[in-house]
This record gives sequence, structure tokens and C-alpha cells, in this order.
Amino acid sequence: MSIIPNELIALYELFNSFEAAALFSDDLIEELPLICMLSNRSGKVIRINRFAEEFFYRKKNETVGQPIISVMSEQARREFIDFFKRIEDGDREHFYYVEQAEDQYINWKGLVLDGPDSDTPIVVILGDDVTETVSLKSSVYSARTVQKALLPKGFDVPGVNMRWVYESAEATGGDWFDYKYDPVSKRLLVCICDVNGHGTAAAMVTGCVSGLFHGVMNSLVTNISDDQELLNAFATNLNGSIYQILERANRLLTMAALSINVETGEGAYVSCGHPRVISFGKGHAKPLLNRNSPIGVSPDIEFKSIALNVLPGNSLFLYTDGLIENRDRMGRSLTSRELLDSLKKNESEELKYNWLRQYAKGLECIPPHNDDTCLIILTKQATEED
Amino acid sequence: MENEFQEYLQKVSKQALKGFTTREFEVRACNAESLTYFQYLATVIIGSSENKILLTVHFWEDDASVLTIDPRKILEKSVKLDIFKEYLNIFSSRIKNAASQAGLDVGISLPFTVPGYQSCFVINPKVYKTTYCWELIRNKSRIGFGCSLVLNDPKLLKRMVEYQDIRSQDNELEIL
Repeated sequence: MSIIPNELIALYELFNSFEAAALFSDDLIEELPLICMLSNRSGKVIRINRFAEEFFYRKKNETVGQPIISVMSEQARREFIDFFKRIEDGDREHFYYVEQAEDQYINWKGLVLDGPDSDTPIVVILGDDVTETVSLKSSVYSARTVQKALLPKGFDVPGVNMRWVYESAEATGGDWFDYKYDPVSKRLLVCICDVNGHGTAAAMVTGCVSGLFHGVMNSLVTNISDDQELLNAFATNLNGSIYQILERANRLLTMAALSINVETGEGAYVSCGHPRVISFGKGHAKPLLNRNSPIGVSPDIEFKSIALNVLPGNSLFLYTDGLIENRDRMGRSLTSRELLDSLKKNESEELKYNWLRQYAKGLECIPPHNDDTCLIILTKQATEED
Repeated sequence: MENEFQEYLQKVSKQALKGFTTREFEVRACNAESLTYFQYLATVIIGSSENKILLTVHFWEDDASVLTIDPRKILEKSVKLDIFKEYLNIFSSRIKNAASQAGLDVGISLPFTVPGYQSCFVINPKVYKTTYCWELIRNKSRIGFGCSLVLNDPKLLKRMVEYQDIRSQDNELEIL
């Protein structure tokens, strides 16, 4: 039996490893779940994978050696001609192009890779069918339009001024607010809520709350004259109506609602697990104490509101927790104490609003860490008599 | 001399096929770029520190069927690649014998398979100044060949062509 030198065995193993690695890289191209084509710099196909074969309805051996533009659609052809012209001119910039053919969207990307010998660059063309993503984005942006419609467009109630800022962490958000004015009883009803989480799922819950706010308040406001009773009934009705939806969706919602007589400034306030409403004016700010369970914890909760009185020139500040939990571009977040101090300043309500607006807009509302942000400043205007 | 050496290579490649199939193939000269458009390439280096002969066989895996008596027996990709490596072994050993007879003291490497588009790296024009390319064609089946050279002795090619002992090895290999 002949003896094979160890060096030869080692060399044989080395060859096998190199070959396995080379063929594995080829298998990666073949199985890549994208349309993948390799070409030389003149644009002739040198490798095409399985997905590309299916996309172009052409076999490998029919495509390899042919110009890439011969398999491309009429629409994409011009873009690719320009791309290969740029490569011939020595340009190594990546190429991006979204091809829209009927209902299909293909996201094309071209890369020029210089091989071990820089005279022979290989051009990698990747195509990703993003039709589903585009449709999904389109649906999300439609949902955003609908959600925007749930928020008030303007405010025109005599004797009070209301300003707000709304920033959602995604295209749609889980924060919502609205108001309702009853000119007969001169009562202004304001509601702000925050569904835990953000995005389209949370936005769908806010849609339910919006519908219930208008529906329930319509009937209650004509039948109940006492502000505290009105808010107790509203919170109880809301919880009873939405409890099952929240339970099935595994969500909770916090809510704060106000009812104020715009002439006298008297009214009531209820907080259902929501950050406290802050009453403030020039040189003073005070959180209003009211604590109830969030909506959706149990089907039969009793909610208790408190009375409040907004003096002329004073304001109420309502907000969602995104304002104090989100971090700004410097990585800092606003503490409750800082928020209180900023509202306490001896400045006009407008200056305070502008500062808060700037702060809220500057927050990096980037999911998954950040939450939607919403704030409202409701000011009872001072009259000449006051 | 160059044409004669090209013809010599083509003749050897055709004769090496006879160990696999009795089918007749047509020979056609081609350029190095066209060798890029095959699915795989198998390569072997015959050489010493100063002289190199790089032999490449370029193919599509499905064309392994033309090199076998019963194509139904080779369904696995690895077997298809092995057939071409085995063919290259035979082809290269004939070239190596001729080079040895012509006075060149050379060794021979193991055959090595890589994806076909990598031929632009394997046949590096910066290293190999001369490359002979040709194809063996039968109907739709094509097998590409490349022979790239780095030789110190310019008369070596002539001596190799003159070495007429291109032995028929038809009966040496029976596979499948």
C-alpha cells in the first residue's frame, strides 16, 4: 500500500475547503430571496439566480451572456443603460431605482464590486419585490388620514382658547384628544386619552374612543347638568362600552376629561390613570389631584371626578406621558418637576406654549422606544371686567 | 506556432473526451470573455515556480449528461461537477506529459471547481499574458476551454506540439 505524504493530504483538504467555500457563495446567490443578477461592466449577465429566472420567465442558459437590458422592462431599461454608462465612465456610485409595473413595485439596487483584480469589476443587481410593503405603507398612510380626521381641526369657542400639539411616534398613534362645546349649557368638554403602545393598532382603539366620546356625550350633556356627574357617567359609559374591545386587544387606555362652563370657569375633571392635569397661570402651577383606575382594567369600575374652577387668565395643561418619557436629541427627557417649573414661570401662556411646542416637535419620535406625544393648553380668556 | 499549439490543445481536449463518450463534438475557437458565461469552471495548474500552464474547463452542469452513457444515473450536482473534474484530470495529465517530454519539469495540482463567472479572476490577464480559448460543441451542449500560459522558454510550445505521443487512453477510464 502506497503512503500518501501528509503535505499532499493537507493540500487536498485545503483544495476541498476552497472549493466548498466558492460553491457555497454561489449557492447563497442562488437561494437569495431577491432577484439577483451579476454582470460584467459592459452589462452582460454572468450569473442569474432562481428568483430572477422566475421573475423574467427565462432560464439561466438563455440569460447568461445576454445584456441585462434585454431582460428588463421598457420602463427600467433607460435607467439601467444610464447606470452601465456611468460604470464605463469609472463611476462607482450605487444605483437605486423603483420600478412600477402595473400593480408591482420592484426596488432595484445596483452595486459595483471590485474583485481581486480591479480591472474586472462585477456589477451586482438586486431586485426586491416591495409591492406588499408599498401597499402596506399606503394602508398605513390612509389610516393616518383617517386618524387626523379624528382630531379637531380648529377651535372656536367664546371665552376660552385651546392650543395643542400632537406628535405620533409612527404614521399613526395611540394618543387622541377632542373637544365638544354645548352652546346651550355653555359647557366645554375636553377629552384626552392614551392607548398603551403606538402605531396602527393603538390608533384603531382611539377611533372607538372618539366615536364613543361624541355619541355618549351627546346624550349625557343634555340630560345631566352637574359637571361631576356628567364626567362620572361618561367615564363609566366609556369603560363599559370599550372594556371588551380593550380586553380582546390586550390594551388599556388612560384618559382625562374636563367639563368647564366657559363663562364662569367652573367645572369638573376626571382622570382615569392619566398624567395629572396642571392648572397654571403667571407665576404658579399646580397639578390637580384626581385618581381613578385606567379604562379597561375591569368592566365595573366607579369613577369619581372632582370639581375645578379656572380663573380668567389661567390655563389648564393636559398631556400624555410621551411628553415626559420621550428623549430629545440630546438623550434627555423632561421630568415632571421641570414641566411644572416651566409652567410656573412668570411668562405669558403663549410663550409657555411656544416653548412646549418646540420641545415636543424636537422629540425623536422613533419607534419602538418612543411614545406618541400630545399636549393641550386650555386658557380661560380674561375679559375687560376681570 | 500559436495556431499549431491551439490546434494541438483542441485535439487533446477532443481525445480526452473519448474516455467518456463516443459522441462527436465540433471544435470552435472563442475569446476569453465568452468563457465567463458558463455556470462552472474546473481548473488545474501545471507548473513550476517559473512556468505555469493554467487549464480551465467551463461548463453547465446539465451538460454532464453528454459525457455519460446513462445520464439518468447522474442527478446529483456534486456528481455532475465530479465528471468534469475527472475529465479535466485526464485532459491536463496529457498536457502535463507533453510538457514533461518537452523538457519542462513541472508538477500538477488537484482540480478545483468554482462558479463560472469567477473565470475573470481565475484567468487573471495580469498574470497570464497568453490565453487560448476554444469550445467543444454538440447540439446545444457546450464545453469551454481555456489554456493560459506563463512560460520562460518560448520554444517549449513547439516541442510540445512535436511530441506526437498523444496516446489514446480511451480504454483507461470507465465511469458510470
